[in-house]
Amino acid sequence: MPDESEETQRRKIEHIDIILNKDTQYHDKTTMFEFVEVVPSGKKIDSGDVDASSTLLNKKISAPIFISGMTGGHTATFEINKKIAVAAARAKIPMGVGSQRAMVENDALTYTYDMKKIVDDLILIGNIGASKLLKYDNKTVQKMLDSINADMLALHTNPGQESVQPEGDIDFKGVYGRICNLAKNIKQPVILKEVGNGISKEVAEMFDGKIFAIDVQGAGGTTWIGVETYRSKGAYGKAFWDWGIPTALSVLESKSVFSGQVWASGGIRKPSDVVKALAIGAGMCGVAKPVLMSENRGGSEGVYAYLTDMIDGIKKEMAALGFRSVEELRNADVKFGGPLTSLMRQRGLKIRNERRGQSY
Amino acid sequence: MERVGDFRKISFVHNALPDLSLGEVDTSFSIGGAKLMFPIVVLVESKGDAEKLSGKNKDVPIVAITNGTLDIYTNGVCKEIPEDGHKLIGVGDGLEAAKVVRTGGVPFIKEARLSDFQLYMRQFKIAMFLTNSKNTVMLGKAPVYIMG
Repeated sequence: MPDESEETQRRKIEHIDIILNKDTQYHDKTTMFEFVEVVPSGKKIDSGDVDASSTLLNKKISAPIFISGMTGGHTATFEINKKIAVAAARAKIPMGVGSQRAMVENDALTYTYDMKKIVDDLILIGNIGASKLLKYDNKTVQKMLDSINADMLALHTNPGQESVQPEGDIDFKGVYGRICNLAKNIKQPVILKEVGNGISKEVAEMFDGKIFAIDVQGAGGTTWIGVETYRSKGAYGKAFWDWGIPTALSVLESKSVFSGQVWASGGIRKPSDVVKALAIGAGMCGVAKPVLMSENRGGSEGVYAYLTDMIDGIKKEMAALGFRSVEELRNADVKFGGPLTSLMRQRGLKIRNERRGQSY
Repeated sequence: MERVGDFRKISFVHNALPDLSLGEVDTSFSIGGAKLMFPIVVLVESKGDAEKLSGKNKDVPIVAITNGTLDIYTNGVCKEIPEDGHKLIGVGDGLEAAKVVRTGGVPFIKEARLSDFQLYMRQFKIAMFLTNSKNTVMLGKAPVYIMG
């Protein structure tokens, strides 16, 4: 029988292989950013005059985007993280690592996450499953973060994925209390993130004033239920392939009740997705699969090219809409259309065609 | 009684942090005063078929409809309730069954799909877990979106 650490390492490799080689996108759901329209300001601006930079933890970053945590815990995934880290530092974009569970189980694997050893000028986001807090105490998590000099902690919550995963953790009882306790007692700011099924306003509200940010990771991009459906070879995951809250709706839901930062991830593919997400109130936008694909095709240069193209694209979009800075974009008027308006009404989110003071 | 409906438009609101374990969800279900261990029933042609199947499938509710009466067999014991007011809706998986329960109906499968019963129940339980529904009464009130 393989031990827990070996099993975790093998799973990491399987995940990467499936994401790179199989259809893991939502089939019947989108992010719904296609139903968000940013109203042009009317000002004429050249893209060369646009400043897309932002700050995170008082550090300047090239744009309010980050590379969402994907992997770690295996020699092969170290190579992936290393190439991504080099590109992220060069592009001045924060980077997350995948779940650090493998290094908690086997500290010899710490190097696979320790990207500040490769490039020190990097905002690094550590990561562990929220349900693992039932097993790991605060001291263990603090040590895990300090071992890689992480600046922040992303706690991923993934009950959908775990339900379908052959070796999944299907006990979330008491996790909320553990998150709140941990957030009060560790040095790093805590982000609660989903893994592709979105955060509802009911869940976001529970964390208001308790954590730094919510990363909604909504539906419309990669479905981890889909990834685990391939692994489990079982039929029961197929029914849940499209389970989840579309990313745009999840941002709006979370913004309606959570006063901290709301980050938009899940199916962010185009510069226009980022611009729309920022205009509806997202603090940052996360990208994952396109980064992994770029790394797979072109290594660190490939990731860097992807990031710089994305940043240039954001600047061009902002210029076309007449916004010189991210701050101006955040105050843009926004129109919602079609099914998104209907869903917002159903969920009791106020509809206004102009966005002011977080009122939708 | 209805056949398979289009439940694709109904989408449960995902709960990213259920205060539950999957193992503790209670799938018991009441229909016309009859308490069933499982909310998905197996619809058969006759009372004879129901009686025969029921003896072989522990806790699985087997239902025959005769003259406006639902004859519900569980572990060989029959409970008769009026059909009126109970909307039996055919389903193709356990998530669809959860949506039927959410809309106040009773999900059914045909005898030919009996071999999928455990699979469907696993899916049903996952739907309960992901909506933070400890029991089927809570599932009946879980937030949903109507898409489209």
